[in-house]
Parts: sequence; C-alpha cells; structure tokens
Amino acid sequence: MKTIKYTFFFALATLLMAAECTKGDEEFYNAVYTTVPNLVTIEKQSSYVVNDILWVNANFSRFLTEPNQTTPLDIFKTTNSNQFSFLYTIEKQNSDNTWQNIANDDLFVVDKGLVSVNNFITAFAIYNVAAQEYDYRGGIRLNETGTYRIGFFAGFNGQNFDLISDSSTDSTFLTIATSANDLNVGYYTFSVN
Amino acid sequence: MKKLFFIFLFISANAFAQTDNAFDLGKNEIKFDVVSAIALGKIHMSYERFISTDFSIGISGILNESNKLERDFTNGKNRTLEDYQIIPFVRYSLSKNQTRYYFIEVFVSANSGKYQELERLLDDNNIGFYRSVEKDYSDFAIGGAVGHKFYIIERLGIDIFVGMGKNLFSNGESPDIVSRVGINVGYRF
Repeated sequence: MKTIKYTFFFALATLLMAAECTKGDEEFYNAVYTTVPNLVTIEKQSSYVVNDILWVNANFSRFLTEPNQTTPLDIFKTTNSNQFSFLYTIEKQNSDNTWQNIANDDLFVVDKGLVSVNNFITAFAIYNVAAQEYDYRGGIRLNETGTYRIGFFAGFNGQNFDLISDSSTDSTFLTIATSANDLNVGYYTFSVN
Repeated sequence: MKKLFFIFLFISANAFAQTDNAFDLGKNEIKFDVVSAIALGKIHMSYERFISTDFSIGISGILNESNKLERDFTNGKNRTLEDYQIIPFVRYSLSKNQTRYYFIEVFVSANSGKYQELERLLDDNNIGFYRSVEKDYSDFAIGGAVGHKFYIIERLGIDIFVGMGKNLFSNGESPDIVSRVGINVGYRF
C-alpha cells in the first residue's frame, strides 16, 4: 500500500511540475517570416587570379518590398535591430574532388559591417542611420590557385537563405528569406588561376 | 516552488503515519492555495461542499496578481496573461476514509485575460511595420484533475491536486490549455 501511495505522490509531483512548465513555455509569437529576394550580392569577376578578393555584399534599405503587400515594410521599426546576420561558407576543392572548408580569419577583409569566422562565416550587416540602410561588404582573399565555392545555408522556406534580425527580447524578430546572384543549388563556384 | 512542494510531501508523509481517526467533520470547507500565492503571485480560493461520503462539489476563484507574469507578458515572453478563472468542480473520493483519500475531479473553467497578437500596421507615411497588439480573451474550458486530501489536525485539511483543461473556443487567442494545480490549506466546518 505504501508503494502505491509514494508512486502516486511521485506521479503528482511530476505532473505538477510538468503542468507549470507547459504553462510557462507558451509558443513564441513575436516573430515574422517573410521573403525578399536578391538582398545579397556576390561581386563576381569574369576570371580570378591569386590575391584577388571576392567580395560579398548585403546592402539593403530599411524599407523593403514585402510579398503580397501594397506598402513597403520598415524592418528597422519592426525589429529595433541594429544588425541583420546571415551565414555562408567558403570551400576549396581537393584533388579527390571533395570540398574542404577553408574559412580562416586571415583570409578575410571587412569593408562594411562585421564578420565572425568559425567553421562558417557569420556576416553582420550594420544599420547606417544616415543612409537608413543595412551594410555589409566582406571579402575573401584568394591566396592559392584552385576551384572554390561559396555556399549559403538553406533558409526557413527550404530554398533561400535567411537574414535574421538581432532584436531585443521585447521587439519583433524578423527572418527574411533572401537569395544571392549566380547561385547554383546554393553555391557559387569559381576557379582561381 | 519545488522546495515548498517537497515540504508538503514531507508533511503529508507524516500524516500517513497517523491513525485513521474519523473526525466529526462538517459539510463545508473553505480553502486557500498557499503555493499559488507564494510562488505564482495568484490568489486562489475555494469553497467545497461535501454532499455525501463519495462526492463533493465546489467552486474556485483564481485572480492573477503576479507582477512577474505581468512583466513577462509585457516583455513578450508570454503570449497570454490570465486575469481570472472561475472554476466550478465535482470531486469523487476514491476511498471511504473521510480524513485521508485520493480523489478525481471534473471541472469547468470560465477564464479571461489578455493576449498579444502580431499585426501589420501602417505609420503616417503609409509604411508598414509589425507590432504586437494587446487584446482581451474570454474562454470556457473543461478538464480533469487528480489529487490527495488529508487532515493534519482536526478540521485543517490539505489538498494537493494537479490537472488540466482544454479551452473549448480557443482560436489562437486564449491559451489552449489551462492548468489546475495547487496545494490548498482548508478549514472544514
């Protein structure tokens, strides 16, 4: 009988805590997802030689055209965010045709915005108050011959990649699925001679 | 909250050690949920009427006075903020012992509060932006609970119960689930 009682208490305790946790963990409502293509540009060249820099840009206005809307969307007013970030990779093809990640701080040059380099590159487009736009221009120094590719991670819609606001907790989080020029299945591939 | 709960577990375990006295109990009980008051900032009071050895009926009222919940709601951490619940309930005792028993409960809950919803608004220049907007909700839930009741001294009873109900008219406004959780200290007369 005692075993039954203590089992009952244990079940009660578990349920009590679970019920309170469930109540606290309501769904996160303060997020908007939208799609605005072509916010990132690869400054491509017709050919590349060693020591060229391949620039990736993300310069976009705070006022964006939103699908199915007749008025522009003010992304700064929506998010109160001073930066939007996105991820990409830089890889080099090995002799056995496999791709090797070569992201490395030493290869990077930042003209506008910020960049954080780990296994992948996190680019931050910073809000420019005067121009009312977000700016990023980051370059990769191509220091060896070979075949390279820049890749973008699939976004929330499964096709594009995401620009994500850095909103404070009481502001709306905005995720923009966007695209870049000259991508083939998420990659821009090029050779350095 | 966990500490409090385990203190009550300890008290209740001691109560098991007591002999199974049948007190001269009255048919009415008023009670106050100490855990909701201390840990959650909610005022939760109940009245229970014992209509037979097996069945009782009652009504609970919950009023949210929590600054923390209000703050979490304002800061966007929680989508909804309950203002109050009125909960009529029926309990069925699972034992013939009137001083210590397990029970099951069916309840309905009229609940009301506020919720936040994202809306696309336009500023004076006809530029769109998203903002969360505060609105009111009212709903009606039905649910069940299980619990344990025992008397630590004559006429002073403790209920520990847990359960949940589903709001019937929730359409993304009111919370889908209302919880029914508490540790009541009651006086029977």
